[in-house]
Amino acid sequence: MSAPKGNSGDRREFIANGVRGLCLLSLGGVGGLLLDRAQADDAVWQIDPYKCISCDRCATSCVLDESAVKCCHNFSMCGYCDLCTGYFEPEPNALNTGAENQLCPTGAIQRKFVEDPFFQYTIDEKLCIGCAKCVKGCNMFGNGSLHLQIQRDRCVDCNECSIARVCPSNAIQRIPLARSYLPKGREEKSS
Amino acid sequence: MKLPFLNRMPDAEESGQRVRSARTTAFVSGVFSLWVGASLVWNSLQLRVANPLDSVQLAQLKKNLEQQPGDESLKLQIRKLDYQLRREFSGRRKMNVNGSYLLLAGLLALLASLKVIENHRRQLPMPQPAARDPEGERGRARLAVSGLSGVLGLLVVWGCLADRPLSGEGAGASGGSDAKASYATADEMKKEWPRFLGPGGAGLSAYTNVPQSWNGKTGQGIVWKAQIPLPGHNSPVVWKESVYVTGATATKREVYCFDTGSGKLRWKGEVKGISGSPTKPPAVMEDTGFAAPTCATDGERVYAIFANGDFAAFSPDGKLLWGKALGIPEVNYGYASSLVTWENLVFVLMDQGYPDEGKSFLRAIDGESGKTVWEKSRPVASSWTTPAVIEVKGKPQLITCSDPWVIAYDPKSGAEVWKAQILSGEIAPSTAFAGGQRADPLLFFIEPYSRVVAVKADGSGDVTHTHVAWEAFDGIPDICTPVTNGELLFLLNTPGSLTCYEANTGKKVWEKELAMDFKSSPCIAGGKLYMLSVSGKMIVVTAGRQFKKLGESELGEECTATPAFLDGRIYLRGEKNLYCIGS
Ligand code: SF4
Ligand code: SF4
Ligand code: SF4
Repeated sequence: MSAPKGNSGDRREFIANGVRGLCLLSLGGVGGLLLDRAQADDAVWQIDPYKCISCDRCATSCVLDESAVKCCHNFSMCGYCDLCTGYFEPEPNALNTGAENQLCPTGAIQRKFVEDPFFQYTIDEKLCIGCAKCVKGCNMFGNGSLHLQIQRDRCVDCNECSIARVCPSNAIQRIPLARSYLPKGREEKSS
Repeated sequence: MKLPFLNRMPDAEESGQRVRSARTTAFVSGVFSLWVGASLVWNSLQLRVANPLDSVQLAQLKKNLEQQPGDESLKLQIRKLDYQLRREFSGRRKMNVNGSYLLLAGLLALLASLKVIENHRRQLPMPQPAARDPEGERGRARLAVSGLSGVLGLLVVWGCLADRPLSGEGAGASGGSDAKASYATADEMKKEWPRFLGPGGAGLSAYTNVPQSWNGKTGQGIVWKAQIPLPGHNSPVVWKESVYVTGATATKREVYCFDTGSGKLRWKGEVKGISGSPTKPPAVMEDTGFAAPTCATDGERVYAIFANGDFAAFSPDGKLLWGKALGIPEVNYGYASSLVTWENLVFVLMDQGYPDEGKSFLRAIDGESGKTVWEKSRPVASSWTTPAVIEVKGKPQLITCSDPWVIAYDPKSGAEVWKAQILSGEIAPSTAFAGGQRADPLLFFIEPYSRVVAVKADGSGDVTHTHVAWEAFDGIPDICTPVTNGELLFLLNTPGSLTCYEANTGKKVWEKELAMDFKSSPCIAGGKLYMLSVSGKMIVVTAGRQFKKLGESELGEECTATPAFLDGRIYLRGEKNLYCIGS
């Protein structure tokens, strides 16, 4: 049976489209691989905790609906204070977990008694929105152990981090992927 | 072999049915996607304009609680509202995520049904000449599909982005710290008395019209007198219309700002709520007390530190800006090193313990943010000295002195410029220097009761054996910092022996017994040397090659603090009161 004329054109078109599609696919695949390789050798976005001024833009400027920036806690810097100025409102009504005393708007910080007079503060990452309120409190009156960081498992590695564009202190920078994180160490930082 | 399902063409009725149901699906999924998209946009808008976490009502309730801290029902209200708001926030967040998936599903269904409609049209070719224009139709269908998906796609993107500020929007508003670091210039500093021993810590006043006589008992020459709420041996610091002093007891630490014109207490700021602040007070001697260190200002903020290591910054209107608990310094008698500012930095010298214990440090803190910029561990023992910032060949040096090292640092980076191992014992007097009047300034250091050492400040590395210009052994103080006008160096010791040396050579020019005790350091203003005794007597002599007494004024109150000498005024702290002397 001979194929109708019109259909033979469609078939040719189909084959041509298929080949074109395959080429594009393989090109995309190779490109993706190369990009992946380039990024692997390249860098990732991280916050320099020493430059961050806790302005709150990290919470609202990430391209993700739930910001890739979360609060981290360096326990080795923490004073385990009863009156944690990252946890409590300034001049809290009482040093307990009542909502009236808490600074974190989402209740993302858990306070746990360790031994008199020490308390441990842990961040519930799911609840943290990266608003930096606790970071500000901790830096102003505490040891600065609470700090913000871009979480590698959340960040989608935008070409240009949209937070970096609005960060008032240029705290967001690219670091080699091999380093992965730019953690906050001892507050004493010599330059 | 025949494969019927491959060869079989759907009949017209079947095909019509398929198209009809595809049309219905397209309609339903289209309406559904639009509805979901609109809900997403609305939800994101809600999160943007009325974020539950920014609730004004909650903030107001918290404010009310400040007024009525014991009101339990208010606390319950806050907890309830807080819970509701958090739930609403996380609900909206979840709705955004789930809504996006629903929208995606709706769009896929829509696209699939549109594709079915298009395919069915394609499978019914009627190659009649000039009947219809299938290419044009196909083009229109493609256009419709892409147009619709484009619009819905845009809705999705907008839905996701709607709760974010547009790029750059609000820049500089919420940060508050976008502005460049602010501090007074060196020239402005010279006109004020911003720290212990005045501008640069040289003990030299820029003014020549400083009063010379007064009487505390009759009130002659006393412009005002104001009571200082809490005790302290720290000295007054003056910036424009404000005189700052601090006071403390074992349990309370305060900073006071008095009006230079009226002596009215403009504000007092309590240093409290600093996390890590020691619960037990430090062991101090009465002579030192809990507020021996003098505060300092950079013109924009005033910084204060206390015997328990609590360190804080206040705004000129008395707002506590930040605070740090540095821990109780391990210093016999009590902590007494005063604060020093330079550009945007505040320096805290905490010399404690023994040289090999590694406990002593010098920390530079950014005045605006309270963050540590650099810190250096110091191989020295406890000291009660205050650093000075001098300029040598156009470069600043931060000079510190302790047992056994005198060390000069680059104030910007904390790098060591030079050091000399020349002191031992309990070092309380700070560096004396002639305020940058020479190209290679001589610095004078005191080894208590033992000797005065002059060191040339233009060295680098260890200058112990290369840069000591001279040393002398008479009239050596143990507390008071000496003062020099560049030509002469004046040493005043606690029992009141005043000794004048030639600054360049170390040759003794004259000495005089004043026969009274001194703890306050001498200063020079208008070519006169001012010395305030513990009993409250100010002795004024010519700062010259011959001893000549110019005046003696009684305050009627004990004094250990060093006064501030300004334009036609002296601000003087007695045991309980602050005085403004002038006319
Ligand atoms: S935008 Fe910059 S300064 Fe603001 S919170 Fe994020 S990192 Fe810190
Ligand atoms: S205060 Fe803000 S940054 Fe800190 S834990 Fe809570 S949500 Fe995260
Ligand atoms: S790179 Fe993109 S995803 Fe990562 S933090 Fe920046 S804006 Fe967010």
